[in-house]
Amino acid sequence: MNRIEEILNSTDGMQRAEANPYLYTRIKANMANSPSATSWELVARFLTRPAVAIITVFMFLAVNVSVIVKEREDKAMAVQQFLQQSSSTESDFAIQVQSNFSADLSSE
Amino acid sequence: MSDDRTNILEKDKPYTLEEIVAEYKDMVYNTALSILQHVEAAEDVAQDVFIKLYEKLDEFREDSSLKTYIYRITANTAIDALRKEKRRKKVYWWSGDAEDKEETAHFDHPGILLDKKEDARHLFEAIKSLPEQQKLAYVLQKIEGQTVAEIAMIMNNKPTAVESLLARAKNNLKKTLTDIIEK
Repeated sequence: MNRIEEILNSTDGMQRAEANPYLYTRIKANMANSPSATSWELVARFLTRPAVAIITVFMFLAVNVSVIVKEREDKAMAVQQFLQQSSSTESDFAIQVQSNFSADLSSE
Repeated sequence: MSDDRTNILEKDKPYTLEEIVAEYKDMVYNTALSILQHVEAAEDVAQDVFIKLYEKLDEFREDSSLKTYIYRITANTAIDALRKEKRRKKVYWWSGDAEDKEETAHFDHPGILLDKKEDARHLFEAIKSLPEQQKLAYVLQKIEGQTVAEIAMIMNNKPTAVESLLARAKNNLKKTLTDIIEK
């Protein structure tokens, strides 16, 4: 255990590492060489942020899901309407046949 | 900010970027070096820190000192560099490319006393395995000599949370060092 404490304390009395004496010159050179970002680059930077990308993907998926759900509902509604219409037409036809039949019987 | 974009103002005290670099470059470099354990990467981070500081000075609020603000940028930039390096290594691993030679190299901090070099090498190896936040808190306290309150300001965290991070870091270091010694 003492050995571990020794290792943990091995940075005691350490000196600070010295940075490159030409750091400022390098920074100035970097700043001079790096072109300022164009508006398109700024837009690209914004769009490629993880948060923006994730939100965009989720919105895209949500729109797709809502369109599919809406389409299914519309189809179901159309089928129901068709069934209702066809059943009413069938019953009208049956009534008409029945009345024609009874009219025929009475005339005979 | 002046026209040549090198004057940085802290309230009514005018500092040039050159003066700020001269004042804080060792602090920035030393912090980055302890986190990254790589000389060239730490130099790159030091450059990035001062460029970011220069570009983001409008965001600097007077409720923290310039030193704290610089520490914060250094910590974030160094952590970003660590993540990039991790991603690069993952790509290497997936692509089955040649193994990374730097991985096996031991890190020797240039400021360590000669008789403690071997121990410090083990310590830095153990620090490398710590999770990011624990690593940052430990380096700021142990290497940079910052207080818990200062670390909390730098990390935008509560002092109690920093104390917890430091306690967990120490426990993890002890476990890793035990393994290293037993080897």
